[in-house]
Amino acid sequence: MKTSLNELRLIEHYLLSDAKDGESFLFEAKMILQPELKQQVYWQNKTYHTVRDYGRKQLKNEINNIHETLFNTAEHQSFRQKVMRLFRK
Amino acid sequence: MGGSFEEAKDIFQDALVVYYEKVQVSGLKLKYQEKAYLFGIAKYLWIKRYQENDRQVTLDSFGFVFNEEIDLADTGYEEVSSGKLMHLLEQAGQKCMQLLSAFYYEKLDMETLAGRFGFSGARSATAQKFKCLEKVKETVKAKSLKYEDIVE
Repeated sequence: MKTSLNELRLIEHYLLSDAKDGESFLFEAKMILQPELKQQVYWQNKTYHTVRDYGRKQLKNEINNIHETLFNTAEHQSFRQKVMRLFRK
Repeated sequence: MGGSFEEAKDIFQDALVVYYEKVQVSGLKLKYQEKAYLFGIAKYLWIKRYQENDRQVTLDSFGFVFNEEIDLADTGYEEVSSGKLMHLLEQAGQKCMQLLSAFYYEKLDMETLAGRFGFSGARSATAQKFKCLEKVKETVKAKSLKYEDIVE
C-alpha cells in the first residue's frame, strides 16, 4: 500500500525528531492499534538507513579519490614518502 | 601500536567519516583543532578494531541519529542483503538518492538544496524530497520482500 504524503511526514517526525513529545506517545499508541502503520514506520526507518549508507558510500568514494591523488601522482611524491617513512621498520 | 599502511589508511578514512558525521549530525562545537578530534577518533577506532581483536566494528557502533527502537522482529521481515538493494538504487534511483542524501546525510537546508538541484525554491524542494522518499521507500520495501520470497 502506498503511503500518503501526510503519513510520510508524520512518520518522519516520529523517527527523526530528537525529543519525544506528547505527539510521539500518541503515535506509538496508533502503531499498536494499526499494524499497517507500524510496518510503514519500519520501512521508512529502513529507508533512512539506506540513505545514510548511500551518503556514507559517496563520502568514502570522495575520500578515496583524494587518497589516490595524494599517493599516486608525481606532484605529491614528497608527501607520499613522508607518510611511507612512518611505516618503515 | 603497530599496523600496516593499509590498516592505517582504513582507520584514517573511517575516522574522517565519523568526524564528518559528528559535526554534521550533532553540530559538535569545535573547541580544539580538527586534527585533535581526528587523532582521538582514529585512536579509538584502532583500539576497538585491533586491540580488542574485533575487526567487525563498524561506523554503526557510534550510535547514530536514526531511531533504533522500532522492533524489527515484530514486523516479520528479515534483514536483507543491503548490497543488492544499494546497487539497484545506485542504478535506477540515482537522482532521488542524491537528493535524499543531500538532505538527510549532508543536512543541507532546503534553500541550498533547491539551488543545487535546480528547484524553484524551498517549497518545491520539500515536495520533491517527499516524493523521492516515497519512491525509495517503495523500492526498499519491494526489493526486501522479493528477496524474502526467494530465500523462503
